[in-house]
Amino acid sequence: MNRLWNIITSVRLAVVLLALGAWLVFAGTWAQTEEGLYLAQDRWFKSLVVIRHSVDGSWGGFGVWGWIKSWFLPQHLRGEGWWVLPIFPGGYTIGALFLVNVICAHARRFVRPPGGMGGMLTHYGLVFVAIWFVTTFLLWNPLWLFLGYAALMVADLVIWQSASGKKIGVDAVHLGVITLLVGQLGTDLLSVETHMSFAEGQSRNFSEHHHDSELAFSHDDADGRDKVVAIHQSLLGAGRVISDPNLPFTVRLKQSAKNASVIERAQSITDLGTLRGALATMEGKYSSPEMLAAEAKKVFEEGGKIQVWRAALGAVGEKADIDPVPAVTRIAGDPAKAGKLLSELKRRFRAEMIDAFKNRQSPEAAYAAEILEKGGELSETQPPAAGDKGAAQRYFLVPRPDALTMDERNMPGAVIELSANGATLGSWIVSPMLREQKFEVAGKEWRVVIRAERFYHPFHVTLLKATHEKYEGTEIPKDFRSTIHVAATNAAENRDRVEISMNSPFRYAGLTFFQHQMGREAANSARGTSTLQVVRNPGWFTPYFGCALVGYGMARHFLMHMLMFTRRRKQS
Amino acid sequence: MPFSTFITRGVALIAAGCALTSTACKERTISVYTVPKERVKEEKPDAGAPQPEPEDTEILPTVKWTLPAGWKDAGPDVQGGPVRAIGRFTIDGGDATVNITPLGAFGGKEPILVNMWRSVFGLEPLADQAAADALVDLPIAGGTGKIFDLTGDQRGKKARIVTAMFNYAGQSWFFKLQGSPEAVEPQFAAFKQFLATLRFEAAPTAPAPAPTAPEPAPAAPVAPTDVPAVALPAGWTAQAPGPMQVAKFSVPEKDGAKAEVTVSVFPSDTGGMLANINRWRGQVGLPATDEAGLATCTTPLDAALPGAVLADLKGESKSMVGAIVPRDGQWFFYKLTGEALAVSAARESFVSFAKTGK
Repeated sequence: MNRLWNIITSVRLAVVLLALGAWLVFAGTWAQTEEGLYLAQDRWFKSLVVIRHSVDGSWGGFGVWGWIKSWFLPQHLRGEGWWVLPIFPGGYTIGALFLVNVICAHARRFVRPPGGMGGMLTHYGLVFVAIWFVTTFLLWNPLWLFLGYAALMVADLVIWQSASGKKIGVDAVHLGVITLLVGQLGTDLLSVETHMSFAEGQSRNFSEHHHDSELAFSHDDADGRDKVVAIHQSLLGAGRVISDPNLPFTVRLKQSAKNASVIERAQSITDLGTLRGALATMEGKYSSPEMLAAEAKKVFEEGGKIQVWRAALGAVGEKADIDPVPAVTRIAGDPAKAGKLLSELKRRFRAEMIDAFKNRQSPEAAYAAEILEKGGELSETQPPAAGDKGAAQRYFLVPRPDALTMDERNMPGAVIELSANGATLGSWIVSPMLREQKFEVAGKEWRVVIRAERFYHPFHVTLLKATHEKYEGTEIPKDFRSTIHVAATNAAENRDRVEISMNSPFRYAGLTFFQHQMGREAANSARGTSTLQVVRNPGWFTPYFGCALVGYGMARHFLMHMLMFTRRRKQS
Repeated sequence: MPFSTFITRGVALIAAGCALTSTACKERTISVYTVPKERVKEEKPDAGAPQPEPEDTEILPTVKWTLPAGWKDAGPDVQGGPVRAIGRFTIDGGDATVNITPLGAFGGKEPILVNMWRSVFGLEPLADQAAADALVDLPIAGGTGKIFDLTGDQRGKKARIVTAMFNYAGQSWFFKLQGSPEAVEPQFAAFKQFLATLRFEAAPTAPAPAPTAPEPAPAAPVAPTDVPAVALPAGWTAQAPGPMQVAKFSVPEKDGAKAEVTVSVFPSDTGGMLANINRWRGQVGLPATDEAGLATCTTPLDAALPGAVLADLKGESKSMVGAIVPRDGQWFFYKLTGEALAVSAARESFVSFAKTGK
């Protein structure tokens, strides 16, 4: 027990944990290049252990070789789901152990002060409460904040003459660190970041989560209201059965994907046919050497896919700076080389056309291109229909890799089967890409949709004006500003013509509204749009208070020792 | 172990243990609530705010474009001044830029402009005829404009400027591709295609578009010859046609999704198939395509109608089925536009309508 106590309270453990923390920050930051900001935050910092998978998908990631391979190989070579085995303590573990270490070390090294416990606690209480007050009321005024701390320090050092506060500096530093650790944990657990998007003149009484989604069932309720049963995405694992007293049916997740495309079967079959037809036309066009010269003339003189032709000519050994039309005429007379050029052109145009289909803003076209490329099957029955009701009759889901970049968002998709009284009601496809779907249970009309998780507020926010200016000739924002009106249930809490700009957030009802994005409405470019980031963070004050304690403690400790040194020197 | 030490250690460990276990207790579940029925409440925007001073009293037509691959919209020039670009574009992979500037009425004075640009490069002015010869006709926005190409030294650096001009609604519109010669050359074909796919839409209160000489007017709609007045497909309702349209219909809604059919008739193919399909692609948010891509998005409409094509265009939020039908020396442009569900539902009757004209 003593040995364990010694380890827990040792400075050595603190140093080891700090070193592990530093490495975690480095590795977690590095991991963001492949995992994206949010995924890396969840996996490295908001976790008890960091779990990793071996390169080939097998269970063997503990080995050094597995680590090295998984570290250096790009993600697409690792296979899916490479996070399986624990290899490193996560942010929560390191933070919590550090907290244990700090608390226990303090308990171990605590020495009863010469002035007695009562005096010490009174002194500590007065100083810490004073720091809290000064920080709370002067936080946004740096000069007065500094003067407040300075005045407090002078008073504190005078009281110190009683010897009750000899160690208050060191203790304040430790308490500050504990406040920072606990505050960050509180922020992770309790804060919610959402956004509110609207166009000029529109009002909203809800904000939506940046990443999380929910499966929402709703039906008409009394007084023009909707009753909503919202199931958070963390409960939507494939195979799960969900029941709730407010739902007259059970929900079984037949299929579920964190990110999925919704494909319209008929359109994707048409797109596949179109692509096949276009490829056949292209291959017919480049099937004989006779057309080479004429086609090259047309492309190089009238414009076309010059880069494809140049690459194909390079592949058959022609120099980059050659005059292309005579060169192609010459190649057309050489059957062997002409055949090679035709084959290069076909290969490159095929890749180009498949890429063009993939890059079209149509998931159906992209899916058709994938099917053609991978040799899959697509027909009226393949892939089989996942459901039989609503959109499921026309659409099917194709799971996609997680969105990793800051400007992408996962589009969760699921196939749900509803059952009541032991009988199935049918299966539906749900996705944010689809509208609300209606169905009837026991004579009541229900609606179902997957949407961004919503947080309703007891007030309406109206966007009055969106000001959006950039520096001339650049995309750098000059003035992003939203003018809003807040209408609360109680008129006394209304706020009129509040301006929210980049470094000037608006705090209201425990929420902080930051200016996030600006834009123009697609249908009417004269109408500005704005997105506000809406953050609820009950622990927002802890970093300020924690830093104030640490800063005050360090300054106090230094000044106290300086005074002691000066006194000793005078005495000697 | 003394009792006080035991208590101290116990309290410290329990506090620390609580901190550790609290890290694993974040879970969201099912929430149930009632909310007012969802509606987007529309209010007059900023009713109480002073209205901004009008920045420009001139009412310009709207010009719309479809950007070639690699071009990025840098937005209009908002800094004011007498000469403002209403569209500016940067191009990936080099220093080439493109801008669109409406500037006075220069119809017939193009040779002066050629010499003006030559002076920028320190080149000798050309005689009027030679300057006029430097201008080449080019299809722009369904009409014909002029283009000239200059390469020279600008502030000690080699530069190339390709300037296209088009007269529309009493204004001369200038489209300029400029940058280093190496950056401009690979964009030249895309620039020409970009010009061909531009489209002007008259400002609501502007005087009727009156193109100035010598450019021919953009093709104006002609009187409908066989636009259906009777025997519409079931559920179609005639609406007031918009500008450049000869007929407009709403089609039946499908699960709340809406779509409409419009018909325009022109005496020419207004810039060709590619330009029209790219214009349509732009309208549903798809990028422009080229001749090879054209084959992938169009199919022949009917064996009995040579040259008539059908295009299925599906954008992110909007879908379109379009048909271009040359008939009796005129070109009929049929468009079924709207939300995907309604467009799919009405497609069959639309195709039949486009084939037969009724």
